[in-house]
Amino acid sequence: MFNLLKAETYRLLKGKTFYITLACIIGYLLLIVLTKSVGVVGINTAAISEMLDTMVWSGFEVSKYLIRSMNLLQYFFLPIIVVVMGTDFTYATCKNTIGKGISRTYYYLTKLLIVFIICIFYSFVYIGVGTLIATILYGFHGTITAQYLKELVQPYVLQMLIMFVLVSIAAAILFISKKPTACSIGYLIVPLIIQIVIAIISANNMELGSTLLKYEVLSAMNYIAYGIMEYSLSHYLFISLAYIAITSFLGMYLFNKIDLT
Amino acid sequence: MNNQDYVIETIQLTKTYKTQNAIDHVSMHIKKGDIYGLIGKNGAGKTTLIKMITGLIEPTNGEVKVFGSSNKKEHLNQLRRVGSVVETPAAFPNLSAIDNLRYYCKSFGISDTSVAERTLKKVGLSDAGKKKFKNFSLGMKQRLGIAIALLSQPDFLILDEPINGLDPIGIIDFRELLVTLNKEENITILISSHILSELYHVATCFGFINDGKVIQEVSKTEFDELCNEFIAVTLNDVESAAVVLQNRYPDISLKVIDQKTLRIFNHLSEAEDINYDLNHNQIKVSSIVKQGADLEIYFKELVGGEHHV
Repeated sequence: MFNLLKAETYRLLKGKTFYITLACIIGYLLLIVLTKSVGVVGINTAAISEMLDTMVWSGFEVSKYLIRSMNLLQYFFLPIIVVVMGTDFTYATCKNTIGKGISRTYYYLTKLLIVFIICIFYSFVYIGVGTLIATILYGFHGTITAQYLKELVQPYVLQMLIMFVLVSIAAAILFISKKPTACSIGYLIVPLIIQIVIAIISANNMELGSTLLKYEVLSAMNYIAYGIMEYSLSHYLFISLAYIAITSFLGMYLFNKIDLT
Repeated sequence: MNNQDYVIETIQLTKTYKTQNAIDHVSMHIKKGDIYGLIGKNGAGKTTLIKMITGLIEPTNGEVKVFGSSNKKEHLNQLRRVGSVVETPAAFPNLSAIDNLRYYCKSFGISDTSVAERTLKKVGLSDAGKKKFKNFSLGMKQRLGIAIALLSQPDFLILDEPINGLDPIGIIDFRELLVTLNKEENITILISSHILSELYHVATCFGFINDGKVIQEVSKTEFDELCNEFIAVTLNDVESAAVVLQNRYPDISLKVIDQKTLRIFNHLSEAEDINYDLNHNQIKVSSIVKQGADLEIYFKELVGGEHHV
């Protein structure tokens, strides 16, 4: 696993996608910190709007805001998914690796792990660089306490896990279809489809809709970021991990069965 | 022959797509040290067979043994000793030749940093510089594909149509490279190609595949014996001629090629007598000449379905 990990890192650092995505993230950070413009990707509630309206511009507050708004990073993850996993199918380079006796399970898991690592790296850049810029411009104005760290770590972990659910779904689509386009479309529309289906079900059967919502984490990401959690922390953790495990197992199982033509 | 001496052995290997057998109960044997020429028309099943050997395609039935492997796990392990270029050479388009090789060195766990440079030199791509793979000519791509396959110093090399796109000089270089790899580095090679004359120059044995079936496997020595000289006779009535000749020469070995042509593989010095006998029996002979078969003629006849009398 370590060999393929090293190789993929080498390739990524030799290409442009990694740097362009990084530049876009930093550019976006500069934009929000310099112009003091904040917003929310997804559903905005009155509670969230109030929090944003009363936001004080300092490194301390910006770090919390960035954690809460980090779900927009999912759009920056897509090019990395396509480059790390999709390129091998677009240019048929997977046959060089698979044909060398590297097991498909190992190959699948390594690729997934690489994307996860880069996603974590980007999230650190997003929060770290953003906080640093805000601190330089406006000062930190806060004390790092256990409560402050909890406010950062809990929504961070939960949101990252939910974004990993999305990455795992995209990976499964890609490895089964061998088509980066299908993966990209799936990555963007699967959460929407799930929400629409649940909304339709809820309209006809409120009880069933609520039950489904309990086991659907993608639409909950925005609320979780602001600490508005309908269920316990462990519930979201368990559901997210279960999604990652199930989609990855399914993806690996089917990838092991398909012909690489 | 001991099974351990086979680098590749397929047992009743079958691949079915819906109702069609792409590979139909193929039993193929590649001995250690051979350069095995796999010969077949487009769509005969060459690439499918190669893909099953390299684990890219799962067989519907049958078994592939790589270096005597007896199960799927061993098959995967033994594939580490195999280098392959399947269909078109694949590499990352935005990386140069050396960067592509460095990537695969890391992937395959090759820590010696000089391997990439040495392999590039071996295939004649040292001068490629920073040129990206996407800007390579087809010949350069083929060379890089072979370089990737050679990186891990394989014991067995699989090359699927590797001569495609090479210029005449490239073909000569490639032929020399194959012979060097086989003789000096003891690499067993499976090579599929349409360019049969080229294959004849390098291969030490041949496997003929048609409609998903390996119809014959012969060593080069056996093949040369099969392709000894013959008398080609063009005449108006092949069937009567065959009867006349069999009566006149009971030990005659002849083959009907088509309705107007037959070949005689012995009595080569008696062409005049044969001509006389045929004319004497009211069979009109248009031509009677001494010829030798080559790989192309042999293959054409083998898949054409002519019968040997």
